[in-house]
Amino acid sequence: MSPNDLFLRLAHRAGLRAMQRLEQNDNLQFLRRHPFCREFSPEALVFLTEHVLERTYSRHEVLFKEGSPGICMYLIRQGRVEIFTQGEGEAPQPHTVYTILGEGALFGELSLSTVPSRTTSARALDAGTVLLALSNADLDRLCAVFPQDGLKLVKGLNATVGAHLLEVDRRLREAHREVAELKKRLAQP
Amino acid sequence: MNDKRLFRLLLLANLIAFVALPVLFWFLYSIRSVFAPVLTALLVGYLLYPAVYWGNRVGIPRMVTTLGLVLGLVASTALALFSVLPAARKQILAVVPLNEWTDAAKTIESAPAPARTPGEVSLEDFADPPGARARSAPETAHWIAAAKLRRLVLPVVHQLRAMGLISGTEDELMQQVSRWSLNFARKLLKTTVETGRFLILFFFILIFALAEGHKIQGFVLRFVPNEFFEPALFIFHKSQFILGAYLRGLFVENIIMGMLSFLLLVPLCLFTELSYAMAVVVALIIAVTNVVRIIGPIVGGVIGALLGFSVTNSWAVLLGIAIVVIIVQTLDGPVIIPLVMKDQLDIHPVVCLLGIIVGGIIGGALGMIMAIPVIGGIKVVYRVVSVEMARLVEPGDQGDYTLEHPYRPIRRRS
Repeated sequence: MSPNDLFLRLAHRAGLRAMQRLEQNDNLQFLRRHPFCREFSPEALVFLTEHVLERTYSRHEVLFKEGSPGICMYLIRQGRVEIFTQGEGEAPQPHTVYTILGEGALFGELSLSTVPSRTTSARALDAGTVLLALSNADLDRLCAVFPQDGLKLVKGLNATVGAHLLEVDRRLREAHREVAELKKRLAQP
Repeated sequence: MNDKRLFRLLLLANLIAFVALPVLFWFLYSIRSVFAPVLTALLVGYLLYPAVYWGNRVGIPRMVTTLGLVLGLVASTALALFSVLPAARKQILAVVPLNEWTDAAKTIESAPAPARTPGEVSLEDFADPPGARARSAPETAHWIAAAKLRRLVLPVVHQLRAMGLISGTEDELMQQVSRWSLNFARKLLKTTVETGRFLILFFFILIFALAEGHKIQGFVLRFVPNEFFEPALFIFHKSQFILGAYLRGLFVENIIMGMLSFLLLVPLCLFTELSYAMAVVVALIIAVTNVVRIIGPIVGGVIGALLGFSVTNSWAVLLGIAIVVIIVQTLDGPVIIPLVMKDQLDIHPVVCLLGIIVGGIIGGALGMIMAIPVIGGIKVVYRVVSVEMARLVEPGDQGDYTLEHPYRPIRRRS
């Protein structure tokens, strides 16, 4: 066997072992199933797996607080997360729950766009809640290296933000309607 | 009330930093023999990492690319040494005419022995007297070494004494030369051992940094509590960005500096005895020494000017090179740096100078180069700690960690 053949064989073997290791990676399996990444190329999926950071939280552990600087978004791999507001500081408010998110949900995406500070607080509801954090810098890298896949992810984020806006709009309309009804009732003798 | 608490907290943090930083520097200084190769390897690993990354993208395993790069690095270093050594030898011989001295030594040796003055020692004194006891093997080895040293050094001593550079009897001079030789041999041995240790550690860390570098961030962040995860991640990313931007900027800046220096030296080549090859060497020296801020340009300018002068023996060349260095350095600050360094660190010159001195003490030349990005990293940490402290005193929005303007004041609620 020539040295060239030996080198190629070794490289091939090392590559196969690396692929086998990756196939056993839980994060890769999770991302492969996730709607945002389902159509990713295998290379981009591996890239994303290598760049997301896995964090485990205990029950009621706070992920971030309203007003804190945010630099990454989170994907819930396991457990549930409560998004809430408490209006800390000079204007304390009662604990108001906006939503409870489950496995596969994404949050904190606003920090990847133009909003530097967290608009709400978040905490884990279950013990052993596993989150995958993707930072702004890593999203930029993904878009630079795999533009097509980056675009898919950004479109997914856009869809999430859009869905949130629609939800807010729906609630606002509902609140307006309720206020109008209350005003009407108050106006009646 | 909150302002007072914040002030007290910041004061405490500054005091802790004031005490902790010298302790840290002292610690790094005491482990500098380990720190220097680790830092060098991490820096080289950082510079070479894109190759591993792109190799991995096209399907080549990291370890294969890493070994290829390391072997390439070893081969290119050896090649550079083999190509530089003859030129360096030629340059040394131009200044120190060892060849002539050797010839003179041969002439002296072949010439009939001159009449000996009282107290003069010659090679014959080392010959065994008739009836002396037989020497042991180590004694013989020592005698041979001493005779060889004497044979090598005596002609040089003759020559130097003839030139009036040294004085004293041959015996005194020989003793002095013996002491120098012994010290030199000790230093050489020490340097060899240190270089060997440096290289072993350097290549070990380099291989690790290249093959597993992508895991370092995740590994370190694993030990960071969830509460500080995002600030720590920000510090990581921002420091990496600062280092990358600084090194890239420095590389481009030095290329521009070198080319500009050469262009300005061309008229000097036309009107003086400075050769084009020497102009290239001087331009290279100016460009390379510029990697160390403030001190580097001065050292580079002095070396370049002296080299030019030593080769041409012309005051016009010395003055010309000095003027070129001044012009290039004048253009560097206001024109070249703003062009190539997008994300300027805006560090005060005094802090910069202090950082370079401390970096030089701890990490040598590399420490001096790395001083600026390290200060930039410390500034990022300071900013993040300030924001987090402000939030500790008054929860809520206290501004972001600020990517563009590290000195932006912390936002306060009115």
